[in-house]
Amino acid sequence: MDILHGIELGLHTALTWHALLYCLIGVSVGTFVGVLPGIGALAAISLALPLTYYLDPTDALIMLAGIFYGAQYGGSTASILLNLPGTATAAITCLDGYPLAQQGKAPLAIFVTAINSFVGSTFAIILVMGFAPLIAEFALKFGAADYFAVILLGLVAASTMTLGSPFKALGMVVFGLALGMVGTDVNTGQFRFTFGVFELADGFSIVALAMGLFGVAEIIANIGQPAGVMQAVGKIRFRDMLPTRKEWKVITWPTLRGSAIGSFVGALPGTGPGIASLMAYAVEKRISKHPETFGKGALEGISAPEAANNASVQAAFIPTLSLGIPGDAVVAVLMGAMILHGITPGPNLINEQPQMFWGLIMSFWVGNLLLLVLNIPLIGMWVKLLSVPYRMLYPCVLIFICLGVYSANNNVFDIFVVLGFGILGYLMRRTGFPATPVLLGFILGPLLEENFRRAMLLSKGDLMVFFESPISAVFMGLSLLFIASVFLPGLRARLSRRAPKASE
Amino acid sequence: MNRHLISHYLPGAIVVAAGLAIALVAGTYPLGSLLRPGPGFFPMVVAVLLALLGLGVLGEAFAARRAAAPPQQPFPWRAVLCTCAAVLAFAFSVERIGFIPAACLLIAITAFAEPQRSWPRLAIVALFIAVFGSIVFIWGLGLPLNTFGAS
Repeated sequence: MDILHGIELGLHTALTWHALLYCLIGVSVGTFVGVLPGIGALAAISLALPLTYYLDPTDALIMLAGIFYGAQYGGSTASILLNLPGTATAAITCLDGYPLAQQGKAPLAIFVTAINSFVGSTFAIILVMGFAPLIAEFALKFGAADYFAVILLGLVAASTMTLGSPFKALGMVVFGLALGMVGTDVNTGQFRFTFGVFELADGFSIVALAMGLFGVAEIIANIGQPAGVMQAVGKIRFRDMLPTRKEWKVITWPTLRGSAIGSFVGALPGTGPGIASLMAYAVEKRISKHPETFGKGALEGISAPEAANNASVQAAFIPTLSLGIPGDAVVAVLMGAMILHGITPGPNLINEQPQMFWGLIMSFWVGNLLLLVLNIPLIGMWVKLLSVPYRMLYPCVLIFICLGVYSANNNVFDIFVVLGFGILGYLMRRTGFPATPVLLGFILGPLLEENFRRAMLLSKGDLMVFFESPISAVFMGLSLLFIASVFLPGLRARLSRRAPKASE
Repeated sequence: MNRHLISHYLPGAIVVAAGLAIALVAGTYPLGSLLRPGPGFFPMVVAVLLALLGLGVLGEAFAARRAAAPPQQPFPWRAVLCTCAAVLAFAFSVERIGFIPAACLLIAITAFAEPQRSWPRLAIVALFIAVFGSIVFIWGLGLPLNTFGAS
């Protein structure tokens, strides 16, 4: 099927009234949780997941994806006005966004970030349309060994491209793999790590794991903490938002560079928007003629990272839709949602469910246009939301989390699981262990094991099979390269010096 | 060994211990061979990797032993305990006394995590949850819970 035909089919799906409605709900909820500090897209998607059981799978995915990219738009608002990132990925926007607000240029900053977000997304969606079908076609030739290698690459990339300790990140991937083994072994029916607990026979629920590690942990970290001081903005007038011709010129190239960096980082399996915005900021600062203005309200300093984080969330759909390997923890939960709806993400998706694939992609266009409306003319509404004491929200979120995990199996056991992972997630966050790799390991672990065992059966137990097939050899080589980069101290030192602030 | 040293090495030690514990349990499942890996094979590999990476974390901690420890906020016992108590109270009571009373219980307990409380404000939150939660989850999604009373 060629692209034009796909676009037509996709528009038919994405422009039905119910798809439009769920897209609108998704992006509104996304902006809402993005604007509010303390609840991220991941918690919101995990919460909405049980609500989508009764929807048509395409509509469900359109809505969940809308939450994901909508949150990237909203995240910058709190960064600019409160100096507090609305989502973890908008942390870098604080560096120059808050100084801009202090100079009374908050409306301008908000307008610019909305435009950047739109350009970044547009750039990446075009890439998704071009590359996902190509990669999927290529991936149809993959054998078990190739799949093992590409999943391994995703896990390694996710844990080595973080800013903290590589041992901690790799350790957490492996810990995630271990959590993924809990339950019944598919090949033999053996119960593993269930310790006689009947509820664990099916393994941990992904919703409970994600909501615990991210939602509950986030609440524990924020509850009882003093609230941030909001920069007074007064009434936001459209006239104050528009950049001057000179300012347009300043932001054009950083936005495009940010989009390119974000698309590339996002398309790598396992690396998400946090690292993309950080890299875009670092690059912009390095090539700028006025690096001293960064951190004092440089427009380039918000343009590049905002374009990058939006580009990366859209590009994250390339590996997810074409290979079935999530590009990021949030997409991993989205993938979990697809599996719950009986759809196997992977190279066959485009051929078997073309209306879903193209419908989802066309809904990205619809969603981004809606977001532009939500974030420029209607921005006043979101700003008001920030003045509501958000500590009133914590008990609500906690109740929704409890109900959300309960609704998956109608079982109180999952509420205990979510609490356990919440405490664990908080302790990990305190001691510098990243939670994202745990989730990726958990989701990819069963796939990794299955392909490993299949490859071993096919090759009669020869481990060299992973280096004999050219496809898998390339992926294994890349994995080794990532691991080697961790242990070359010079490279890491340079990276961490350039990156002023950790974000994930 | 003083308290600082313990908390400095504890995370790495826990990772190593977790790896060893998983290895112990994995050893009770059939390992199989490379030709036909059994259900214990992959867990054993994972356990050994985890323990090794834990050693790496310990090594890093050792290398950074002289570096000034970043100022660590005091452990928020209140937030952790209140969240636990609230969630546990909700979990144990929701099927016995109904959704709305259990939700009120959770809201009241979490309120003690904050330095000060405003009960009228919490009443608004409770009202919102009672209406919204009942409509979406019990009426809309048909969860087997009652708004009041045992289910």
